[in-house]
Amino acid sequence: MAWRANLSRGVKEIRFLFCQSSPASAPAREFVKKNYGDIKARNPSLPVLIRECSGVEPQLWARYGTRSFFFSSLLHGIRDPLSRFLNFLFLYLLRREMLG
Amino acid sequence: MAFFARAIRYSSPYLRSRAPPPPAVAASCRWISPTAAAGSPEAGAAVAPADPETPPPREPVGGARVELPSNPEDALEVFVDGHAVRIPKGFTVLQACEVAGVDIPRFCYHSRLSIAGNCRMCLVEVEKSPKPVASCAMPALPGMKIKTNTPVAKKAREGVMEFLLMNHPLDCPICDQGGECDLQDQSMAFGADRGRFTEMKRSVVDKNLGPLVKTVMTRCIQCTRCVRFASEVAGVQDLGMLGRGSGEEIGTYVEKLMTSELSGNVIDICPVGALTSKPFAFKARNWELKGTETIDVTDAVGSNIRVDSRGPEVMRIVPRLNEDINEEWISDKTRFCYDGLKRQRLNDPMIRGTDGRFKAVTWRDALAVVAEVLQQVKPEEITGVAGKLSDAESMMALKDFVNKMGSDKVLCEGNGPSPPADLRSNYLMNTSIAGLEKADVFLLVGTQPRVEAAMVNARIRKTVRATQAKVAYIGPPTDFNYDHEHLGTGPQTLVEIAEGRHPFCSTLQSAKNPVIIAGAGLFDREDQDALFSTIETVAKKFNVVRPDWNGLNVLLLHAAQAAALDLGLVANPTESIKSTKFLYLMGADDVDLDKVPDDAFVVYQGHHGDKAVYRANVILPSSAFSEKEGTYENTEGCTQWTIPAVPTVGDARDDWKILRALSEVAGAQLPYDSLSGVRDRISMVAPNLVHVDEREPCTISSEVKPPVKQQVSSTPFKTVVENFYMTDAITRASKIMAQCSATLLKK
Repeated sequence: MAWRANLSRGVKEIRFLFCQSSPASAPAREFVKKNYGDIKARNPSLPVLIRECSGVEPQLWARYGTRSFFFSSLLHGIRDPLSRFLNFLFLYLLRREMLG
Repeated sequence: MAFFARAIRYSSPYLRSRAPPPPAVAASCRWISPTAAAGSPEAGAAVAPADPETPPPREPVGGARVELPSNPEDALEVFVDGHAVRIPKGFTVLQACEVAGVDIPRFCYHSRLSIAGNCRMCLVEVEKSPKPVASCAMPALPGMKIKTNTPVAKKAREGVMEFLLMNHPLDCPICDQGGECDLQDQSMAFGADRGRFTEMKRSVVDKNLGPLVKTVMTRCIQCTRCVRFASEVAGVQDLGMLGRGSGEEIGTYVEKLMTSELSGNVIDICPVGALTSKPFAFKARNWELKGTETIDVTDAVGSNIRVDSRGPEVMRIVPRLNEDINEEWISDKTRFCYDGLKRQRLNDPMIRGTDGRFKAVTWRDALAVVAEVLQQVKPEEITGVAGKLSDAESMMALKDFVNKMGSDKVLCEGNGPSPPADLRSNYLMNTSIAGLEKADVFLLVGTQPRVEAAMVNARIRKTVRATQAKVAYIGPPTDFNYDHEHLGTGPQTLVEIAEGRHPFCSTLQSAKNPVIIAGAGLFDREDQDALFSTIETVAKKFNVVRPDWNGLNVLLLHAAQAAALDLGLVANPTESIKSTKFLYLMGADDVDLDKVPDDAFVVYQGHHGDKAVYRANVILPSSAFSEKEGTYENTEGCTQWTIPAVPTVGDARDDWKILRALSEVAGAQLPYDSLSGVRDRISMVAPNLVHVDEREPCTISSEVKPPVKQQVSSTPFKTVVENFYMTDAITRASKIMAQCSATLLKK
């Protein structure tokens, strides 16, 4: 997808939060295992912080913009949720850059 | 004592190799027999089944942990004062009494040392035994009937007490151990009401153990606890017993200082006042002190401590029991750096005037000046640096503030140019400190745990002593207090192991639970990505990481390091500082200030006037760890809270409150106003930091990482801690640590 190589434009930090063992976090765990290597290979200097904690709802936080905004989303119950969210984030960033 | 034959030192292999049991106390089976029938085993057996009620279980002494084995043949039943208890095989009579809730007096026995049995204070009566037995050295046998409260046992203890007090000086009023002395307590409980000794008491010459331990050897009762501690836990053969009979003395054989990093613990285990704290001598009585349970921040271990204070002054620091982290020991740096909390303190906000001298101002003026400068610089020119002793709350506030101002340059000291912050398993001790006891091979890469984390080194030494685990070391030549194999000094040795060409590979191959410990000093290397990739290759090759065992560890150096990596303080220090126009140092005293541009505005926020204040334009005073509530994460990922023990000095404030006020004045207000608000914010960023006293395991391993194109450099590893006693602002301000550096470091 186009968003992978362009993540570090505009995005300063990405943070995954999920539980180590709960079923609600299983899609997030699978996404990280499949995609972390690719994201990191294309964006070596972008912090992709993966934090596991018991009892935590799966979350994705991204920090971007010159004045730092935080955007998060709960990710359970949606098919391929992280991939769709990151694509949405990329389009949102593109739109903001065109306006700004 | 000449009348007593020295018992042969009995060491139970169960005691030595026993791993810490789980916290839950297993249920024991107990019932009560009538007292009249206790003397007759047949009558007791006849009456017991007819007892309709089971009495409530008695609490083991001091929260003694006991885990009954699953195999019923490995457990046995003994009767203590008529109460039946089930214990594992290998337990001694004393341990059985503890499980049964009976406190046996003792002087020489210590649960973490080997058994000596030479004080004879733990004598109890065992049925069918002609004489009282030393309960600490007698293994419990099935069906054994132990009586601890009989006239014979009482008479035996009274006699032992009389012998001990024969030559003991009657100087309790001037003894520092007063109020917490085992000899005082047990003579009150078990001794006679008068003495019969009318001859001359003996005197013993005091020994010189160094600037930390004060000796009054006339009070010594020769229990040999300090000898066993020095040789077994501390790993130095400095102490021993000299002479025999009434001429016995504990000493160092020759004039020699005790040079262990754990030497202060002999003060705690000495049951009398023979070994006391030299810096604390004649300062306070223990009933005048207020104890506060808190966490140590002088290294990344996070030892549990109790700060004893009197009014606004910290009088001493003693260890607190935590089986998983520090057991009941602390390092000498932790114990004796407390006078650094009273010296070189910053107490007023200060602004450097046009003549270069600092002038004390109000908080309002100081914050206004800082905010004014912040408006003049570009967002990307702002840099925030957290220090070694920062807590998670202040680092969260610093990161939020600098990010809100539009900059990404937030970092923590000691984390290097590109810290491995993405996956938690890349920077934590994944085996856990207690889990190191299950290891059988240790590979230390670029780390010297004796000076970097003395408590982790004690745990490794405990494992080496108990199971003869092998230790291999790659790094500069250094002292170890256990047998080790020095494989090399640089990464080339590691590459050989990764490629399978080194002889040590066979040891790693045959190990059941291998452990690799990488030092945090590797973070500062330019090739650290390639180096950790090589370490991960070694781990994969020898099956170090698997579902039931994770032996890949990083031993961090500072208390703030793990929390900083969790929160994401990952900026490159060299690039950040080189181009900065506004540098915010939050307790960061080891930043290379020569690289700061001359026109940069430097704000220093901290509790000690250490190196960085001389470059600062504005000084903001803050609280030390003993004066604030803070969250710290240790090297194994266990989150712990500090509790304020003493009030803050002067006009200093908590770190995060200063940043909160500064953000409001600067126009980028942070959204939290209370400690719980900051912790709620932390729970959104690194939720494991709000799970106190817990370790969160990591399931995402290094296999998800992309391959590293970098090559390993051939530069040898270097020593990270040159002076064990001077590693941060508090220890550098301590006069006691200065004395230790002067006398103990030179060899």
